[in-house]
Amino acid sequence: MPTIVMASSKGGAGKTTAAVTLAGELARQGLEKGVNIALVDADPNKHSAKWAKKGGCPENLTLYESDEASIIDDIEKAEQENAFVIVDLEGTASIAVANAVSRADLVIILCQGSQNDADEAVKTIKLLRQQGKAFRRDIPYSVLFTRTSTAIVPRTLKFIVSQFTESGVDVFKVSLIEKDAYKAVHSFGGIVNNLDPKDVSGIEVTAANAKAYVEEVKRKLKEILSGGSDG
Amino acid sequence: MAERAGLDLDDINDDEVDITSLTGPKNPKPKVDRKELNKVSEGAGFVSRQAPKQRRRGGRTAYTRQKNFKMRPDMPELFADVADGLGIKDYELLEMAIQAFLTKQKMKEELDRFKNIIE
Repeated sequence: MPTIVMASSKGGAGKTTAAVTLAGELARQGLEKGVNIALVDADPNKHSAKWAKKGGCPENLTLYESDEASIIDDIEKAEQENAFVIVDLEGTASIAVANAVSRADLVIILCQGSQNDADEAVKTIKLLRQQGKAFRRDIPYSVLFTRTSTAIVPRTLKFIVSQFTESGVDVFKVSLIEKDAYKAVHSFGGIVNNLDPKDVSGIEVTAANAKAYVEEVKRKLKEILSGGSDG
Repeated sequence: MAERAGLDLDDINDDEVDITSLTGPKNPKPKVDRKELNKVSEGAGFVSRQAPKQRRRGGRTAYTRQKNFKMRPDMPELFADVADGLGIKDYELLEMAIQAFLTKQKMKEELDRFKNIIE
């Protein structure tokens, strides 16, 4: 019964896209298997909550709106009522982020291919390591690159990936590509697969990318739950 | 002759992980002391972004509505001086004046409304 927290101390890194994509796809997969999914939105901007309220989400997905003061209690409540808990946070170095990651089974650190994003990702990694030392629990984490191009891999991105991997930081093989369909779910609600090709282009490519991302999350969780990874 | 590079087909052949295989009992996560957690977080540069709750001073009063009206010059000062002289607030003086007026004019219906309001 894992809790997955989207973290980045920088805004616009793609936390909400990663959160709603994961929540929506897991809910779709779990709908006929009796698997309930919680989406906890602790970002004051409430973009995930707006998406969940728009309709079109599988009915086994439940929204929990939270804030800095109640984030730990809200996560624990969501854990009791659901099989998976996905937490979306604000893009700042806040206590809310620190509190949420303390309850995580997996922290996904969102990062675009820029030096500023990478610096903020490192800040989050340091927080996880400090919490790990203080409370004697390694918090598994992995860096997910977002808004990447399907056509080219810029040198800056290659350099950042190599820096992370050389330092032993786990990095997702898949990245979330820059596609209009990811933005369109916030306009139309629901998940990428259910968008209408008349309204949005690139649905097939985006759906395949979303599925690859969710599968990689599931493989990481499987490894973590079997005790095979310590981040 | 150099060997041809293989194709990276690992991901294509990966089977979908059954979602129900991930819903078993959680790995135990120890409860953490929240004060200690805040200390560690602040040490890593993660600080509170929530405004501290404002402490309400004094009790909640019944005087919640506002009414602006025009007065002659110097009348606000006279009004304030009378209230200060009696050691009461402006809005209390206004109520006393209305009550005295309604009583003197024997406006029974309005006086009853007045009493209902201030009860």
